[in-house]
Amino acid sequence: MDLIINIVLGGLLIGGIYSLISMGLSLQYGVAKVLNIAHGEFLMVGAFITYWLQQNGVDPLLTIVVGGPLLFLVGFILYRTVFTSIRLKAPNTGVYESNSLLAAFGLYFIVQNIAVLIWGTTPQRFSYLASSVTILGEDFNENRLVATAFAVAIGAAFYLFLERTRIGKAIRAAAQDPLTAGLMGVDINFVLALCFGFGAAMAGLAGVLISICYPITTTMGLGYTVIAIVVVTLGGLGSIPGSFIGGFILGIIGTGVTYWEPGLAVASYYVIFIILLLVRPKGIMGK
Amino acid sequence: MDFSKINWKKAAITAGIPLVILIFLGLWPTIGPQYWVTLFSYFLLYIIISVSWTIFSGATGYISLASAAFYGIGIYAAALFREQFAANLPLIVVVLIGGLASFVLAFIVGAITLRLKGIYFAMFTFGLVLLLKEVIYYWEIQFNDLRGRFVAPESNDTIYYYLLGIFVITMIVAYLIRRSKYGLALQIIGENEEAAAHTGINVTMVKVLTYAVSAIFIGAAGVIMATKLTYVDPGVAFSPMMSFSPVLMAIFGGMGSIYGPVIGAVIFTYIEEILKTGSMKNYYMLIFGVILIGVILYLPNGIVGSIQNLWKRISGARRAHTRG
Amino acid sequence: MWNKILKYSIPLVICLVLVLTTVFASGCGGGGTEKNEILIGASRDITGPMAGFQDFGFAAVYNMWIDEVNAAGGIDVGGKKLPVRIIEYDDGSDPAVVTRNLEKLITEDKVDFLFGPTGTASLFAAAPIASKYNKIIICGEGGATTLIPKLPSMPYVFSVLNFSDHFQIPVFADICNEVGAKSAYIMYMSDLHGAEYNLTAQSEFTLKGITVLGTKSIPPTITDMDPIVKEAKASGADIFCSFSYPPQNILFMSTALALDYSPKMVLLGPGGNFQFFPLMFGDALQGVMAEGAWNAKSSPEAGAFAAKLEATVGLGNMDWWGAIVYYAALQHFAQAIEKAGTLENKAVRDVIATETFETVIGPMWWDCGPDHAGGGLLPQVCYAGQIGQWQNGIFEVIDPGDKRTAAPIYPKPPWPTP
Repeated sequence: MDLIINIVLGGLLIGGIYSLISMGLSLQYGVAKVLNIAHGEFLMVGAFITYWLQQNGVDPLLTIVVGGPLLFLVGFILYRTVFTSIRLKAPNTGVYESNSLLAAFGLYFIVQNIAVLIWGTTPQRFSYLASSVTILGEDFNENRLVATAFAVAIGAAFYLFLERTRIGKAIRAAAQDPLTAGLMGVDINFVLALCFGFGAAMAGLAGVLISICYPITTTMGLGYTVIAIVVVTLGGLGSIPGSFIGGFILGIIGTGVTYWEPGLAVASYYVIFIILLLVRPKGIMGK
Repeated sequence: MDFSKINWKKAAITAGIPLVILIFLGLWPTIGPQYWVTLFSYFLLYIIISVSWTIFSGATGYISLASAAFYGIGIYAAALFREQFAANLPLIVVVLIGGLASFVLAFIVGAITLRLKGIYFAMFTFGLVLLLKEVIYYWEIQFNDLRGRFVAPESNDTIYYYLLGIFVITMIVAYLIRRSKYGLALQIIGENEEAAAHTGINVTMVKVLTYAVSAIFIGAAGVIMATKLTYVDPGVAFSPMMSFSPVLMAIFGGMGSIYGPVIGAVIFTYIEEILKTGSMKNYYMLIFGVILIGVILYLPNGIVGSIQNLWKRISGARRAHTRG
Repeated sequence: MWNKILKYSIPLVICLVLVLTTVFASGCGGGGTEKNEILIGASRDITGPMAGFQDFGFAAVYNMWIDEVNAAGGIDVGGKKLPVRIIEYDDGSDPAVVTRNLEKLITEDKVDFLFGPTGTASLFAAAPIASKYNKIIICGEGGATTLIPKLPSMPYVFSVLNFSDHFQIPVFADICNEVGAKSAYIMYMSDLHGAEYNLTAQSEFTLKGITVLGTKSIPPTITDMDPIVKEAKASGADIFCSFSYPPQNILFMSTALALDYSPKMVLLGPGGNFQFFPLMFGDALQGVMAEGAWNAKSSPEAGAFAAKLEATVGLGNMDWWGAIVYYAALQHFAQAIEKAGTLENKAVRDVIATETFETVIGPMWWDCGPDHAGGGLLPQVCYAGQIGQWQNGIFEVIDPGDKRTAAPIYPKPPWPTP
């Protein structure tokens, strides 16, 4: 029983952050059709901005206000310049997707190299809410609880934004059929750039929350990108509830396998991933 | 009369120039500086991998990210059958084993996944590489108490000539497939799979078989490279970069012709070499990334495609000029 | 027609460019026969996950050594003083690139000697290449039991650092017996490094009457260590061993602090020996042990060396495990070149393998197996220590015997309240 509580609660506490990372990628790939290999790099930048501000006496959670908008801006500008140009030059979606994948690779190299030049490759950490809280008789990290709460709140807020606002509706229309959406008066370049920006912002926010919970390095980005790809496939492309379900499932399975055999935790992600692709490639919530 | 004359010229060019290149490559170890033989080995390696990748993915549009898996299988074939300080199978036999193992793996992967569309196929193949890496790591540590294995080294010339041999076979096979009705079938599949099925092409068979054949060369190259690396572990064998490199090289060079991936591979490898060992080594990834984005933005058809376009424009202008 | 020609002319042009570059490159390389410098090549992780070792690992020490040697006019080779120059190529900790870089250094740059790459896996990739070309390679970070049976066939490989059964874990088990620690929980990274430490620890602990209550292997990519720390806490073991690299050791410390897991004895792998650990964890490090070890109190020479190194690299980049033996190996290397009076690798190698020279750790010599015929490791007496413990901000050597600079604290005090 103790073990089950530990696995389920522990898994949920990781899953929240996983969901947030994947939501960003889901938006970037689901709507803007960029399989952004550099997604984890935005996360890493968010984490290091938090670290840097924390060293200068800023409360890490306050960084959300700085990191999110900053990365949104970077993502928005990147899409409006580089990816829009690729999209307009590409003769069809296939070429656009493969060329933007390549560009994302370029981005990955550039961002990581700059980060290594600025912050080096030594792992960094700071102590924030580093004490344990007892839930149902088991100890959990206080910072994980806070991070998960924030992740869920940000995700829910974004879900409401998509469902309730005009821009949200335009985004959903663009996701389903960019051509028709364009005909109906949606500024498609603006909307897609918005999506890419939101994706980058969510990666940045996830980075803030990760830096609160775990040690960070400048080379950690790709690992989180891979996790995001798995979660997105699991939950279904472009679905925000799907990202949550996928993130929590992956968190719980990962924690469970870690109790049994930590060396196979990452392998278990891929096994789930591969089985799912074979059985239901559209993901749990995919349409 | 005029007609036959052009044909003869064409034939001479088609057969002659590759022959000249081949003789040059064959003599290279005797005329080239020592390190440049090594560097040419890397050129050949990346040409083999990117051309193999293009045979299937270039034509059909299915982006395979499993090259590293086939390469790694080849490396592990060498690690098992060409151990250091042990009685071993002859190298040529191991090369065949590596090629065959890759063929089998690609056949299985192809058979179960080629119904996946577009990006899902890419994701599956990438997941496969990472899964193999994790599982072999775990297996080696848990059951054999080792991380990597030592492979019996070969001389640089042996490695070079083996790669040259695989390179020649790869190019011939790529050329023949392109020329044959298989190549045509692949093109049609790439354009419209359903239409291809309606015209009576056995879509699944063509796809799976081509995929498996293209994997042979990657596996065989893996065996040879293992004898150069001499120390291999799952991280080296199943490095994701081996999956991405052929894609980048092929798109960079241009997938419209058989030469695109060749040129992409050579230029990529050379740029990497210069950047990594030059005075800019701390900015290697940065420059590399900028070049990548620049190429996609300004040369979207790859280098060969763009030069061809440019050439057409120049020669078109000249013809127009002479006519006028 | 034009298209046809074009198709072939592009590869031809590229071949031509390459050939021309080659001619130029080889033209420049094969220049004078007169040696006017000693060229050393190294493939190092400059941009990858272990790039930090450029600042606080072997590279920090050899760069200081090169500056010192050159300030003194160079190394005396057969009556002529030659300055030392190093060429470093980046490998990003990819062993495949290490191989390629070393081939370039040896065959194109024609370096005289090699310095080792960053980390055990890269060292394993480098050793066979150096042997293939008969080039002396002085290896810094890394070392493994698996290398020992290979060394007799690699006479040009000299590996400085101590490791698992050479001689850290046996010494650690003796310390455990001395203070009366009875049971252990082992966490190791699923990597050659972790696996070997784990194997050695299992057999040493059994031999010396310490019960192993639990063992878990972790992947290098681990991000969440809660399950393992909780299990270790539940096991109630006296000793917790973390045989892993700096990122995992940092993660372990963070997790243990947060979940208030404070066993009587904690042993950390690489990372715990660096000065950035106390800078990162402060008072929480009091009583934590790590593989190492030396400090300024080890000897007067060590004290002078510590001051000199700190002045060069800064306090935050001090390494209390390998720095002093790296430096000693380089001092030995320089004296060997002077004694051999040539840069010819075979002659220098034979001097290195047989001679004893005075260094910062006292008299130093290499153990190269029967008839000095193989590659070298340092004998135990040459090391300044095997296990260290953080006591009031100093990494004290706690080996039993005359290397000890302070008695071990047992049990470790609980974590300070945050």
